[in-house]
Amino acid sequence: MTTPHDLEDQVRNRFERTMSDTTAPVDAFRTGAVARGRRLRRRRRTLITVSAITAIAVTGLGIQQASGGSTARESTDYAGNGLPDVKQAATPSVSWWDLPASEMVARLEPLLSTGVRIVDPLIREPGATEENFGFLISGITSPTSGGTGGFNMIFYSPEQPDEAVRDDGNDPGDSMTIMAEGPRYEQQVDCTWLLSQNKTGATCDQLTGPGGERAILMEDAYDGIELIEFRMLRTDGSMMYVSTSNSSQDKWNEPTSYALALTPAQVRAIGESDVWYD
Amino acid sequence: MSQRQKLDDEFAAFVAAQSHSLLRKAWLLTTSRHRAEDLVQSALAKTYAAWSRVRRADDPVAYTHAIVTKTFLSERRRRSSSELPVAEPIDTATADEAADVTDRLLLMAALRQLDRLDRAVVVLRYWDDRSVADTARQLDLTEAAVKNRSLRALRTLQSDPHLSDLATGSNP
Repeated sequence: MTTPHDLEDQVRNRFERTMSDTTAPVDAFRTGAVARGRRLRRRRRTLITVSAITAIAVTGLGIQQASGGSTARESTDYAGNGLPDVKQAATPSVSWWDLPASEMVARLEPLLSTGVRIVDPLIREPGATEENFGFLISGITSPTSGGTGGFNMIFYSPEQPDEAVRDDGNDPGDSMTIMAEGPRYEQQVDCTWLLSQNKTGATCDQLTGPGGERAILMEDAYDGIELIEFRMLRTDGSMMYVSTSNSSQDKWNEPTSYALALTPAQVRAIGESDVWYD
Repeated sequence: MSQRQKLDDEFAAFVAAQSHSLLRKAWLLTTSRHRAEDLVQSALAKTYAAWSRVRRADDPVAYTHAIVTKTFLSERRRRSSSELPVAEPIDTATADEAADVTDRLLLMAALRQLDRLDRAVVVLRYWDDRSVADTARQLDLTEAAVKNRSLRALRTLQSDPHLSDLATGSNP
């Protein structure tokens, strides 16, 4: 006769025997999870931005009304203080940093010099059904310079204060917070700070963008790799990042060409173009 | 190496170490490989989104397993009772592999007879080897409810004609 304990053991054995030889598509899981996880994180941050900005706007409105001020002035005041525009932040689905990768390529190509080509752009992560948003990795070639390498473009949504973001409703960390990662945007557009972190003798130009934005153009060279990076902190708190190198490898480990496909001025022009914000 | 790269590398190692175990658990819960892959992908995405703090948790593995269970049960509310049996594709296989695949199909068919919460109880108790108290905590049930559901589920599996080894105690 089978006792309940026997039955429990038999079910355990049956599970083990039946499932032990099954394997998971590890690489697809990793790339898919990273792509979806980044989108999830960005959505959460955007949502919290909307909440925070709305709260600021409502508070500001109340203060202005209480003091008899004109409500028509407030959006100008907030913009003047460098805070995100309420109207723009309240419509995250059309935020410039959520541009689909295919559209990024479409807008990028007309900005390139004759003959310069974007090669094998990563529109979506392997296994993912959705496109990447605000995130483009590709190769790039130039017949003029003979350069072949990599091209990256990332649109960062406005940075969040530490410990400000709550998870959505489905995981066990509902009440936990997500910390901001890496250097702050302000540091990433500060040549003094960047050079203090750099050990390879990079050069950095502190720039002012077309709308008065704080920006940097950095050139670096190490182990045969040449790298140009442009970053611009926009007045809405978001950040533009453009980079190119003479390596088409994923992590830019080894050079694939002696020359770069773009000049520093061209990288800057791409980053400062207004085609990204329509 | 940047902080972001370091976190990504850590996450990649975590996925490499845990994917097989997560998939097997999700497969037993959903009874379908395709749904299991979706479930694991979804759980790993949530884990990645919160990785900077998950990695500091006492047990990131338990955390991710909990997300799999919770996501599975939250889908229960959306899918309700509309879940239909799904035929899994069977690849060309050797005789032994074919026997394993058949074995698995029969087990999944038997699990599919269980209410989804009962299935979660069975998987947590007999696959994850969790205690009654821990299972109760995870599923937001009383310990008595876990014991009752567990017993009911075991009887259902035992009465399934395709799992005759459970009835006889044999081990083919």
